[in-house]
Amino acid sequence: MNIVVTIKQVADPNIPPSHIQLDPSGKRIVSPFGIPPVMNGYDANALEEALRLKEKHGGKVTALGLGDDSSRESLKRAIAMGADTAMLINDPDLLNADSAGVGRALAAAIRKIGSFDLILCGRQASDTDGGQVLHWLAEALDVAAVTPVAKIESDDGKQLTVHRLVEEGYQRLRVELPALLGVSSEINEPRFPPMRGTMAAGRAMIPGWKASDLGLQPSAAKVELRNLQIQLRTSKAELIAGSSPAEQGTALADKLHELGFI
Amino acid sequence: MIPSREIFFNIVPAGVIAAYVLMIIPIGLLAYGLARRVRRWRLGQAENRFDQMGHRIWNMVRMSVLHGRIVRTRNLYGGIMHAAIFTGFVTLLIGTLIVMVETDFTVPLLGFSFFHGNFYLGFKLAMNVGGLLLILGTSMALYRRLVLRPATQQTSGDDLLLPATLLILAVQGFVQQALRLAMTQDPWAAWSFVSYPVALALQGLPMDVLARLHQLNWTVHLVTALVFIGYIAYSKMIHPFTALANVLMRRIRPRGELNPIPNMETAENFGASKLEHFSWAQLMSVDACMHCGRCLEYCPTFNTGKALRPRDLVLEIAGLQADRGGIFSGVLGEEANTGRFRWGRGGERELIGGAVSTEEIWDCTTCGACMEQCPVFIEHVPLIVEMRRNLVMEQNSFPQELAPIFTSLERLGNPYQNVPAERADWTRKLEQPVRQMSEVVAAGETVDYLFFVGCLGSFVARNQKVTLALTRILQNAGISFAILGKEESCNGDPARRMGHEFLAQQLAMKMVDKMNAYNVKKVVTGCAHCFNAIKNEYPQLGGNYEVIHHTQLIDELIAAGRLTLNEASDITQEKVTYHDPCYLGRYNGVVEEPRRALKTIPIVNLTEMPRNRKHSFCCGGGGGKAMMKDQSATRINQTRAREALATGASVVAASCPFCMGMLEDGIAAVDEKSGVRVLDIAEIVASSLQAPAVTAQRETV
Repeated sequence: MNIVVTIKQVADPNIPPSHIQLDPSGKRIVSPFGIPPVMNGYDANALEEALRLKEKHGGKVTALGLGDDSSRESLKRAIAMGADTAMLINDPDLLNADSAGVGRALAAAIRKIGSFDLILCGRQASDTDGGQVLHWLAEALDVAAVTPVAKIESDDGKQLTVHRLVEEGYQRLRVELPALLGVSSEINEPRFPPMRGTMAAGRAMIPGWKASDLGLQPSAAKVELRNLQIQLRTSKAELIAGSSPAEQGTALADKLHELGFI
Repeated sequence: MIPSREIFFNIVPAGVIAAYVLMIIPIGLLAYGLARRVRRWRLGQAENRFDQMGHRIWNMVRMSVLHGRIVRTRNLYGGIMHAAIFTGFVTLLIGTLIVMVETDFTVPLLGFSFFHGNFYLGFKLAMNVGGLLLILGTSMALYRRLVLRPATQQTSGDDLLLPATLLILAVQGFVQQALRLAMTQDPWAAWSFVSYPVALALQGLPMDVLARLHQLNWTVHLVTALVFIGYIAYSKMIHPFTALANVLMRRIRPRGELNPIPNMETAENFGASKLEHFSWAQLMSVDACMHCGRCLEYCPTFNTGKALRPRDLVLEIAGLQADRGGIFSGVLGEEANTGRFRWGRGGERELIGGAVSTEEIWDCTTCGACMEQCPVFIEHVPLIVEMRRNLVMEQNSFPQELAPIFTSLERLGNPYQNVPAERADWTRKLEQPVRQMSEVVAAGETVDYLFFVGCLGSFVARNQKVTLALTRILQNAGISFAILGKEESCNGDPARRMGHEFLAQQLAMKMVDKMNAYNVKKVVTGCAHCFNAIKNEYPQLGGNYEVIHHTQLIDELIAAGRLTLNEASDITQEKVTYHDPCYLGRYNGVVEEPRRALKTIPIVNLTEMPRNRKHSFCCGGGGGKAMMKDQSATRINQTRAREALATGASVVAASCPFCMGMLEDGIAAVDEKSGVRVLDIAEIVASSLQAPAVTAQRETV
């Protein structure tokens, strides 16, 4: 089974809010000192699932990314985890593309890579939480898209039975291959990259493709990110005084009333 | 008449010839067994243990003939027992050889005899003393194995058979002599002070009965001796050979230094999953074990009932080696020693998961108590780390809670997902700023010390207090120092001891590059693990510094009068007990400095726990164990906490952030209401300083 996994490199979602910084344009999160960006968490789940399918059926796992040169780090991690190859679309013109533009670029790259049975994407990226690219990608490749997927129940090489998350439960869906799945974190726990993989990744060459390599025509974004805004929540603590639990309870009730909570 | 005796008295010539011919068999078996062992060791990896031969030989003499590690105050019974058996056995062996030299060499070849006169009388006396010592020592051994039965010993057939055989041989020797004395009316019989009274008792028997008994006992004694010699190479009795070899060839690097994996990029294999992956010296070392169980005496995992028992681990590897060697290993050794390993069976077993369980491998805190105790210098911790290296780097298999630790170390340079930019945030709480190396170097200046703060001291609130106290002490004493600040990251110790050598080297290399770029000469650390790694392991990567632990520096500063302690007469003393960190005390021998510093503090009334200094009991936090879950019934830190509480101390003094965390948790779990505090020596000193900048911190004590 040949599987393509899309990998986006994002700012570490565990950065404490007080450390989040934006670049001068206000459109991008800058990784703070000492906290390098990471592979998007859901993409790691997608990659893990791809690797498990490969271990079962054989085939090839290709990691595909779109971003600046630094995004190679996440693709290297994909190789460290077990992906066979990785490519990066690193055309500066595409860095500000909207979801549709990214979807089309990924589709062009996948056509260039060749035949595929399955495309696994993270359900959304943790930096933008848009969750749209995968639909545009499926549209451009003319394959079915199912998202968010919490489990691949069975697969026979021609079709898959998957669990798609809905509120309070899930749908069991049968989907014909080739298809695209948007993977959610419930599906697995991504593996720790084995040391041999990490060393191989250090030596791996990851080709970079420009829009012209993919035969893409420049197209204006229909949605444009104007700027990001960080909202910092502050918290403060106040100790309720009182000589007995009853007195403290009364004081607490008074305080909550005063603040308008009760 | 010149004192002497007839050699082979009362023995028919055929018997003498038979004795010489039969001797070939056990000596051949011994040589064969030894050769098989040497051949197995040679399957191991290369390792240079041939340097400093003079030192090695002297050390071997010290540790064998002089019983350097065998007789210790904590091991007097076993020490005296061994000394008795050793002296007795060696005396009798030399005696036998002397007779052999006379009979088979000097007389027939040189026509020269020396076995008479005063020499002969002295010989008789010495042989009786030797025999008596052998009886005493072997009786002590049997008494301990059968009656005393210490928890650290598990007794196999061999453990009983060998001392019993030696005992029987000694008794047979005395009987033989007594029978001869009774038959010959030897005028010098009294020199044989043990056999003589027996001879007097036997004199009533008819001469032909005595002669028959004499011949019978001679034959039985001969056969016993020959069987014993033949069995040596297939039992723990091989230890005079293997133990001597191991002591001679032991690693003479600092014990706190693990061997690196050189050229990681091209290494074909990481760590050990097969016997062949160990070095030849490591394979040899496991054959030196004679099951004394001393390694268990203050082993934290043995004493808390965990799977890892260092003696068993060594015997498991030795057993696997015996199996692979395809040699007969002694039927009586079969129920040997551990209940888990079997001599002579299961050669197809894997090393990891077969002979040794992964649980054992991950149990170890790397505290080194086993290595400190082992009388023959077996190094258990490096064996364990080799297997961890294989699990982590070849098999990607480790306790799952380590994955985020490894990831955090790799990405953020600290184990607990702390924000690297906040590494120097603790300095904001200081009245007087601390300089950073980058500023110092940029200004074209130098400082005397780099203060390597460490991850816990930088990020963990409790340990930050220690860092602040230490900084105030340094400032108070006018020490010129700087920190790396945000440029500091983990020194690599936890990754290394968890088997992730690649990550450890990456982290260490980063620090070495930084420290060399800043031309650092002297380093003071606030952590026993940083101290050991930078002092003993950074030289492997080109980082050579004079490294000092903060307790050493504090001791120096007090001695030099650079710290003025509050000596007001109204001070109430507190009972303080000091816990030695393994990587400071046991591994690096820093045991007196912290105590000396504590004793000079007027408020401190120092008391000791039963297990202290180099024989301290681990807090349970080393070797990455502070980052792993301990789900066993008995926690190591709680065991140590109980020991500390039993001293009645109100303060447990620590000098390592890992120990501090483990002990605080332990005390809280054992006795929440005890009110006993764990304080770093730096905190105790800082609170006692007579200086305005620091008196505000008094509340920390």
